[in-house]
Amino acid sequence: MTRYLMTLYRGKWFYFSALLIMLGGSAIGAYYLFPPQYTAAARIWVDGQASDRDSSMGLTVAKREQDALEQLVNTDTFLAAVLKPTPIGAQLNGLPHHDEKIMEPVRDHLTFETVGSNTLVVSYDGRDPAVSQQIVQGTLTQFQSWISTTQADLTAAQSQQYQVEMQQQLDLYKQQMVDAQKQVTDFLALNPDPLPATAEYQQFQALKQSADSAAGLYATIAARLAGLNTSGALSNTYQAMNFRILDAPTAPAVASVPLKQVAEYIVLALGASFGLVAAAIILLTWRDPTVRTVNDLAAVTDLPVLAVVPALESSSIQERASVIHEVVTVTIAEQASSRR
Amino acid sequence: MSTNLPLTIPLCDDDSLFRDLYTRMLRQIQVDAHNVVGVTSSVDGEGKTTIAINLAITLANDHGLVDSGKRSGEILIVDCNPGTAGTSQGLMVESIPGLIHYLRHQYPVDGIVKQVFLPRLWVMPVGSSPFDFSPLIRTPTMKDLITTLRDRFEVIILDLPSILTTTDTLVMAGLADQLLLVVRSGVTPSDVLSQALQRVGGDKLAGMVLNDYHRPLPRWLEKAV
Repeated sequence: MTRYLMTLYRGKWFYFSALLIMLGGSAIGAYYLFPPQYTAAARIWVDGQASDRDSSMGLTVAKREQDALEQLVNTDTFLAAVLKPTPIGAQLNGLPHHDEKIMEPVRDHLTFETVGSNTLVVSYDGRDPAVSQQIVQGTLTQFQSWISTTQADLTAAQSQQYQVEMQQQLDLYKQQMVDAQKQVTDFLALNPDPLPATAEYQQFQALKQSADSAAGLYATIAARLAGLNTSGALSNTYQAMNFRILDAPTAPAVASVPLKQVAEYIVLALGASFGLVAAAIILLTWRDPTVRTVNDLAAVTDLPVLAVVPALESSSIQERASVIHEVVTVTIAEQASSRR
Repeated sequence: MSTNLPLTIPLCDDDSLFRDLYTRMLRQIQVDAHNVVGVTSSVDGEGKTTIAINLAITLANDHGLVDSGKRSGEILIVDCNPGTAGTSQGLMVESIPGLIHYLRHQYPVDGIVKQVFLPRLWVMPVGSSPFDFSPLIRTPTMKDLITTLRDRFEVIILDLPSILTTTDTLVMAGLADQLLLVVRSGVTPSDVLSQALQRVGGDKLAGMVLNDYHRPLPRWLEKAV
């Protein structure tokens, strides 16, 4: 242990400088690895309540909204639309491999968190506060647009099917009406003027009622088909995805620091720095075969150590000679003064 | 005798430190009988020349040796490091002529032993052109020189080459009474030290000097550990 301490003390300034350099390098690394992050967030309210089936599975409307958003963000088209007004969007060139590299970090930093059953927080961590705000706002805008488009598509699809069904029904009733009219016409052709209270007259009345009934049904369906309102046939599911923005995203003024990650990095850097210095000390001590102390001499031989001469400040023989000469000169002067 | 020093010692000025060194060293050796001390190290660059010079200066300043009455109390430091001339430089004397020139019979002893700025301190430089240094130190002339110098000087300090760089060290270590091994803190590998100790053997080694020592830990941490 003493020898290790001796090695450390002997090279104390070197090890101290090395530690300073390593810690300085770590600090620079921390600055680039953990740059200040600006978090922009928006809070939205999702209307409605969860269906019985969703409730039984523990799903809230906010959770459903979150799932939809996460799937949409993983879609290149959706995310490209979100990034389009931002500087990041300018880097996209349409090549999948190239755009994927740009979009992946955005996906990593865009997060969705449910707060309660109807509230969802959309946030983004980025180096530029303005871009963070743009991405969050863009996400909400594109999501709202997607909801509206989907609703309209479904409405249109549903309206067309309804019209087709109604038309088919109309055609059926029309055929029935035509058939009933034909039966009346054919009867009158055979019995031009049936007398009342006769069997022919009763048969004529029955045929006439059927024809009137078929005509009435046809008229009703035709009117309904003509006054159909497509905006009323909205899908219940997508109508329930509508949301309202409670807190709009703003450009954050203060950066947030990932304290936990920075602390872990600092601890790792400190450990590595001290570990390297310790390893150097151990290695240098093991590889130091020289005799340094009286104890080292005693380990080699039993010969007595008659003197331990401290290190002179100078090392060259000329300088050592001048030191000796100085000692001698002082001695001569002392002798001369003692003779007087 | 073993001195178990603590991990750190209070820092003190060079003079008292080397006085302490030489005092402890003298406890290990008998000055009367053994006055040739070799200072060496495992490899080059561990500070043996500096230690040798400082030890010589401290001994030269010690009036106690003069008062012993047996000898003059003069100290000689012999530079046995061919090609470096560190001792000469440290004591600011000319490196030529030197030991090599004596061994070649080109100069007498008095011609190569030079007094330095302290009254009782003398130095014998190594000289120049060291290509024939190895064979010269193995001649009886070298041994006779040391014998001659023993009678003249109180203490002779041999600034020897390092043990593992040349075999000359072992030859000259044989001329010394005691050896001092300098180990530089934070520089000398323990296996190199072991190898040097094995090569030189433990007979003449009086002890070690741990040089260039830096306090390994601050006091408060040392107490905690």
